[in-house]
Amino acid sequence: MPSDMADVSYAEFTDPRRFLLCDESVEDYEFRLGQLLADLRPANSLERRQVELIAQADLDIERQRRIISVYLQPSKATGPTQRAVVEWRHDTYMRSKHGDDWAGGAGGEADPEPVFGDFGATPAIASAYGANFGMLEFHYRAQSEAERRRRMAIGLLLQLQDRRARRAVPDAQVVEG
Amino acid sequence: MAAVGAHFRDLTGRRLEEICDADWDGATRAALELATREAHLDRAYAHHVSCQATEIDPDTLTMIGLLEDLLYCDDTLSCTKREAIRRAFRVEKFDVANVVGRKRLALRYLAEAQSKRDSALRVFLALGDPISRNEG
Repeated sequence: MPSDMADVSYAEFTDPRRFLLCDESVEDYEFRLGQLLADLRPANSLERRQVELIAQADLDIERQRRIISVYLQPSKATGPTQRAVVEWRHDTYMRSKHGDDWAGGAGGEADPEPVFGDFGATPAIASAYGANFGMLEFHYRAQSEAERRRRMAIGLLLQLQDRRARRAVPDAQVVEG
Repeated sequence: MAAVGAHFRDLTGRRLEEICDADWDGATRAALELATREAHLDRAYAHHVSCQATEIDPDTLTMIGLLEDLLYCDDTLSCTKREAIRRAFRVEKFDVANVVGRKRLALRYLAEAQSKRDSALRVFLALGDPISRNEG
């Protein structure tokens, strides 16, 4: 962590626990905010608030990307009802084959962990996309909204900093005669 | 109200309770409006985040489980089992539509809160934080 970030006080900012999900950490958020404060150098409360909004939008962009990747996992290609029906059909088939001796057990398997670099998973990912289209459509939109909020917050921060710089310039004086 | 007071103090350096009737000029009103919008924005963002869960509602899963139990019941007629499957799919679809609707609404509230806050900031800058008469 750079030395100029070590003495940043977060007391004046909104408590991040109000808007963090359980898979996000306060330390990561404060580190991100500290980096932005060091880079953008806000000089007053209005500018610091803008930096806070940029950090929140950043976090939201990352969050939406993470959620999208969850919905695109091959295990999300089937919903709970479809899994239940497949399990029931399997159970019915096994009972018809082995009679009442079959004790069951194929069900209740945990979702497999994602394997990265597995090109064979593309059809399953495409199925997951189709199965969760409504959710994915929303999260892509939420991501682009967060990107827009970030652009707006940066634009407003630059305007505020520009006003601050212009304040140092003395007013023009009208010289008569 | 506490959140509005905290934002107001950040903006003006004064406590809201300290402002007497004579102090309510355009700039102070603009500061109060901005403080209120900031507090709304904080709430809207927290609400938007709280709607981001990716898990299916536990009550919906319970209902699907109950319908699934019908499939394993030997006394149940085939047509009833088919109806149970159909209804389980409908329950799941309803839940997804409900969750997406809630998320969409939260995003809309956030966009509105952001837009009103940005407008209030511009008014505050124009009234409460003027630079000079030569500003272009």
